[in-house]
Parts: sequence; C-alpha cells; structure tokens
Amino acid sequence: MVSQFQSGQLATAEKTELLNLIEEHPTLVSEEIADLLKAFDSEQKPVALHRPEQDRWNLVVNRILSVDKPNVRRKYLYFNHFKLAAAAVLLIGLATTLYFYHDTNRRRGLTTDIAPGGNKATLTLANGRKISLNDIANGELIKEAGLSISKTANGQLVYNIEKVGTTADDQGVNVISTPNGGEWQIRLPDGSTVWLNAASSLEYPINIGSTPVRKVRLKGEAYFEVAKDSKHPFVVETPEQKLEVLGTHFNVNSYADEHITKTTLLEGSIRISDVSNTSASEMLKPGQQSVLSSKGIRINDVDTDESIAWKNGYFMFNNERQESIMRKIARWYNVKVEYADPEARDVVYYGTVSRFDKISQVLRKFEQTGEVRFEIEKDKLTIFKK
Amino acid sequence: MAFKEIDKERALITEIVAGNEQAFSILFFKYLPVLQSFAYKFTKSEHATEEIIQDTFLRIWLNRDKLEQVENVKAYLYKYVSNECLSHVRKKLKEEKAIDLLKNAHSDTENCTMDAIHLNEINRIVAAAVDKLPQQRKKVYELSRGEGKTIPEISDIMGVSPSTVKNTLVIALKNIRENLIQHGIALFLLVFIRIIK
Repeated sequence: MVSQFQSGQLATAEKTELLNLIEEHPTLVSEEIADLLKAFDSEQKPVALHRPEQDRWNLVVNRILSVDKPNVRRKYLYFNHFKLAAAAVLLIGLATTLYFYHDTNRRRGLTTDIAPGGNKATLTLANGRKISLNDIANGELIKEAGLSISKTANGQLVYNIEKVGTTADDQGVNVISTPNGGEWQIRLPDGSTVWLNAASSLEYPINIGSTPVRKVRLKGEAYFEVAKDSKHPFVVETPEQKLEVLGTHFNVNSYADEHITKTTLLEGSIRISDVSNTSASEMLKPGQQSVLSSKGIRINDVDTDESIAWKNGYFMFNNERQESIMRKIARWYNVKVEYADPEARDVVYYGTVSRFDKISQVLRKFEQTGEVRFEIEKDKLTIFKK
Repeated sequence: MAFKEIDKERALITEIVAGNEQAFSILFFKYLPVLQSFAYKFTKSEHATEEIIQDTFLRIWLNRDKLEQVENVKAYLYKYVSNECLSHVRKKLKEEKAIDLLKNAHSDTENCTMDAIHLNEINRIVAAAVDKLPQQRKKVYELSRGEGKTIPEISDIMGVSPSTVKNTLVIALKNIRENLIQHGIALFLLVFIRIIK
C-alpha cells in the first residue's frame, strides 16, 4: 500500500486507511519499509557521486557535525524551513515603508521557468582550435606530439605532458572559458585544481609545471587549490590585480560588472598587488578577504564559506543587496535583469539557497519575504517592489 | 574478507564514538548511495531525500556513544531511514488530507515542514546545554567538539586518564540529549527502533 501511495495509485479512502494504519502500528509499517530497503539494496549497484552531488552531501555532513559544536554561531539560514526563513530574513532600509499588496499580480510572475546552470565550458587550444567540453565524450580529447588532454568521468580535464619544451605547441597557452550558466573544474598540468564559475575564463601555459613562475590569467570568478611548489610561485593575474602564492586555497572574484576584485584566502598565504599601482601590495591571512577598488586595497575578516558557496552548489547571501544578488543569478541562469521599481535594488538579505534549483524556486524564496516580486518573460527577469 | 570488512567497520565505529568527524564522514558516504537512491525512489523528491538522509545521520551522530553496542550498523541505519521514510509518508498523507478538506482555501503547505528538525534550534539548545555542564565536563567537551582534539590529546591536556575523558564525553552527550528532550525534541530517542536481525 505504501508503494501504491508513492506511485499515486491510492484513492482517498485508502489513504485514510493507510494513515490510520501508520498511526496505530508505526513499528509494523516501518519494518515493512525496512524490508523494501533490504530488497532494494541487494539488487542495487551503487554508482559514484558526481561532483555537485558530492559537494551537496558534504554540506549535509558539515551541517550535522556542526550541530553539537559549542560556541559556533550557525552561519546558514535555512530557506527550506519557512518559519525560520520568515524570522531569518532581515529587512533593512525600506522595511518600514508601507506597501500595497497587488494580489492579482502576485501569482502571474513566475509562469515560465528557467533551469539552473551546469557543467559547460569551451577549451581553446594554442593553435586556436575550440572544443566544446560539454558535448564531447569522456576519454582522450587531444593527442599531439608529447601532449595529451583527456576528460574524466566527472568532467575534469587532465593534462599529460611527456616531453617538456620540445615542441612549439607546449609553449602555447590554453584558455578554458565558461558561458553564463556554466561552471567547470580543471586540473592544471602542475597539479593545481581550479573551479571556474559562470561567465569566466582562465588562460594558462600548457607547460605551467616547468616554467619558473606559474602564471595564469583570470576573468570572472574562480576558486584555486594551488599545488605546493615553493620553487615555482603561482601568479593569478586579473585585469586589475596581481596575486602571488606558493601553495594555498583561495577564491578570486573579478567580474567586470562588479567593478571590484575580491580575493578570499582559505589556507596558506598570498600577496595581492594593484596592477595600476604596483607599490600597493598586501599580504592576506587565512579567513581574510581583500577588496581591490579604484580606492586601493582594503582587507576584511570574512566568513570564507560565503565566497566559496558557489563552488559547493549554493548561493549564500550575508547582508547582500538585491542588486548584487541579481548579478549572480543573472550569470548563473543566463537572464537579463530589469528593475521596474528602483528601490527593489536596495533590499538586503541573509540566507542560503541551492544553485541547482530552477530559477522559480530561488525567486520564490525572495518573494516569501514580502519585499519583492518577479516576472519572467523569456530570458528577461523583471523585479517589482511590493 | 567478510571478517575484514566487519573489523574495518568496527574500527570506524570506535573512531566515531570518540568524536572523529572524518570517520563519521566515511560512514556517511559509504552508505549514502544506497540510502539516497532508496529514499529518492520512495519519496520522488530530492528535498525530502536530503531531509531523510540528514535526519538519519543526525540521529546517528547525536547517539554516537550508543553505536558501540550496535552489532549491525547497516541494519541500524536501514531501520532509521525506514522510520524517516515512514514519517515522510505520514506527513504527506496528512497534508493531502488537509488539502482535500480545504480544496479552495489557499494552501502553502509545501514549505511548512512541521516535522523537520531545525538544526539551528538544536544548535542553540546544545549551546545552552554545554553552558550548563560542570566546569570539567564542559572543558572536555569543548576540547573535543570545539577544537577537534582526540581523546588521548584531551587526556594529556587535562591530566586525566583516556577512559575518564571518554566517560565524560558520553555523559556530556547524554546531558545534551536530555536537554533536547526537555525542549520537545524527542525525535532523537531510539524508543521504537528495534534492530532488524
């Protein structure tokens, strides 16, 4: 009966009967389910988890483990739980403004839906050849003199260089780039791993492991886990900033439309310098974030979870303005954002939302705060202040 | 080979009882694939699946001191997941009944997970419970859960025997559970959990 209910085959009367059965004999029904599970287990071949899955479950493990930690202020607010969300969402600024409730408009907004981003990227080889990485099968991509590139089951690129510096080709650079709504993970030839967020690109020499300085160029946002190699410093250049490390974990956000470059350090140490003013240079300690703007470099202590939430499959907002949030959503769902009411830009939110939900589910969380509402038409998203 | 498997799991359980987070994570990912696909098949909802898995392992974690007496961890886990699946069906049935009754009234039940365990809430209660522990016990607990120290390390720092540390941790955990029950979170008790043979 339980399985019939799950497949939606039960009539109302039977549902009542099942509910009564559950209320009266919970142990019996539970044992029934346990038997189903045992039978299911014996016929099941477990499959490996994909990376976004793995990250999602890692987050679950962390949530469980932090539950009985003393003196840990919980960082996440669960949008999943309606009551909590209602209490959690702090409205700053215009909260006191009276608003009118247009009930007729309320449901109309989210009739069309947009799927979240996923693994999408293009690899541009030294000779200019472009390969769309999402379309191709796993296995070997390229095999040229002394160099092979292959794509693994979880979408990673792996480089194999047999003879370093012998061919003209391995002096060249490769560029991996993601579109709006794309992300990709890549393992560089020196063993460093880079997660590339949407609308970003990373340029690197193929012989990166054997050059005196390991230098890459980034546009957009990426999280780096640099392989330790004290003899070959790792340098990340963005349009405004130069960053030097030996081996460490950090996130760089340098989207052109953000107008600032944010670098967050999780492990190790890094040096940040301003490209336009080489005398401006700062060292970062773990847990710190540098913000580079036209006014120079500023250093803050931050919650590092927030800056790498994207890599773990989440949007995390900590006192973040709607306008800034919408830039992230626009990049990931590949939508254009318009404000029908300019004051909607200034609503501030705290909270965590999955990046792998459809856009309607994400937007609904914002609507539940009673501050804004959305309308979607094709790829245009309009925001109204309620 | 079967023996080796069991021994390995025994060793893992011993580590979990001692508060080793990594050991817990290994156990989690060992059983996740089958539990996850079952829960998904059962609920047809990713959200519910996540909740079932999270609540199951949360119970395991907060009852970790009892794991050593459990002979068959797999059966124990299966029982827990089955119970969670059951609560899910019950919740859904109740919701559907409510919706049937209020066909035309607007129902936003989707997000009202009444039975859901609120981690924030638990964390707050745990913090209060830890605060109330006697000095010595509190110190041991904070070294273990707050700073991630192992039992031998805590024994060195505090100058007491490892078995004292272990007992203290078990008692602290018990105190915390009692506090949770006082706050109406009795979900953690193994009351009507019978181990399948």
